[in-house]
Amino acid sequence: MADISINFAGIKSPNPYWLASAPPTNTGYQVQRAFAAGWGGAVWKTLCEPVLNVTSRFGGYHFNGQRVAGFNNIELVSDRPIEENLKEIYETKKRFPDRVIIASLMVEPERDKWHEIVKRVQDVGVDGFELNLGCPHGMSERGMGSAVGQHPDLVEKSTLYAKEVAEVPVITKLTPNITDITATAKAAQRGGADAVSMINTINSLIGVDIDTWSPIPNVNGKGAHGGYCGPAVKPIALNMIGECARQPDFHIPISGIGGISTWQDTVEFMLMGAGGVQICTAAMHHGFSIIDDLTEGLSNYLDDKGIASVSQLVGKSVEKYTDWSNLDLNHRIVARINNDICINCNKCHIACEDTSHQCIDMLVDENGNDYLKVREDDCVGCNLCSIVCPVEGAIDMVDLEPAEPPMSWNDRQAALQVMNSNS
Amino acid sequence: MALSSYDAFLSEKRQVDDLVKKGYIMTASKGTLDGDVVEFENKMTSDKKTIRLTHPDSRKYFTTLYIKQQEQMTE
Repeated sequence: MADISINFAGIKSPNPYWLASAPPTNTGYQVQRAFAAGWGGAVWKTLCEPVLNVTSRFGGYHFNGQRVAGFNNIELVSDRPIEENLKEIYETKKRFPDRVIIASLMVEPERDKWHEIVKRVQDVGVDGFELNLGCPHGMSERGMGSAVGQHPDLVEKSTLYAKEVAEVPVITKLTPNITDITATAKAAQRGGADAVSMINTINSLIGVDIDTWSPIPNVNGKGAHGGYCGPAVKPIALNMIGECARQPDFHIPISGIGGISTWQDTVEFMLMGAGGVQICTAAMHHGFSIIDDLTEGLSNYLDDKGIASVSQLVGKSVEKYTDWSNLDLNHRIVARINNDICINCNKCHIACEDTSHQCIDMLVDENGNDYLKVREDDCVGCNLCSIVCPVEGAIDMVDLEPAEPPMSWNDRQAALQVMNSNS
Repeated sequence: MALSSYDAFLSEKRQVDDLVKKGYIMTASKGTLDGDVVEFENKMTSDKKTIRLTHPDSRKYFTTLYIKQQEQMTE
């Protein structure tokens, strides 16, 4: 049986699954329930000067019958006194010594404030710190959270201040509400971070009630932007992790966060460079017991692949993630319709005809039966037909034998430069 | 009836191949809003030809061909 334990930036965890800092890690009661269920670690809900919260706090984005495709919250950090939290952290760690407890911290980007909170919290015996430089709502209006995380210089300073007194690893949590997350990731590294975690939630408004005209969620009719998470943000998170992981001058571990709901998501995040993952929305949607499927599925996957340890997955897809200009312009893939499986719904034809490259013909065979056929010479291999097709296996995207040697945009531009320099 | 996209590509590819077959070599190329303007020169006769390639596959094709020619010259 494969080993699914990890050593993340020196923090040993029995599995790669940590609860992210959020409502599920608000109290010792909750975290102990999670640990009893099998979670490897928990990032405690952010400790700060206790806040005041509002009702309501959450909004769900449901799409075509899929509940919670996305999730938004306007809840702030911990509203409980730090002493109460520390007491529960101590008790939880005592009861579950083999599990990881990371204290999420948030203060203004000032040395004295970071020193004070780090020293006070580490006395209780946490395994590491996560600096919350990413919370996008409420706290950012007070100069904390993403208000800090959007400035590389403040990310570097905050990390440095925490590192000056931290005796356990420091993980800097990054905001996705920024043009280039590699800039803040590198700033965290410069500040001495032992690791980064990403992504925090994305600025969002779930919707507007078309009867009352109030934002969703709202507080007595008024709304404010919240933080978006859940399955819908997974592609954004995966890209940001990949972008950081492939930077040649970025070397510290990444804790992956953002829409992870299944063991398959976990594998993807780890292949793209995450050394472990954090989960919130899936636990809020389905409860802590999802950990059974997460660990079992991951373990079985590793066994099926003949991989001894989950750590061997980390970063294995990173070299395949590159700039567009390095992709092969001469590679050809085309759609092929399996007419024995196709139900002739014509969605592929309509999609191709209306919005792509008009290469799927509606034909009638010798028996008078309708069928669809791709004109492969005209197909640009965009995938749209297979994406909109409702029947699994009805359309295959098929690699063609290369007619020409590989040529990327960069190769092309270099060749043109030579051509024009010789003229 | 308009040419299929593939036929349009074949038509432009043929222009490139014909010139190469007649001994012309590519000497310059300029990308424009209307496609790539490619200059050819026959080194034997010093005759010059210019063609404009609009189809994306043709624009891939002539540079692929040029790279192959360059590689052959250095072999």
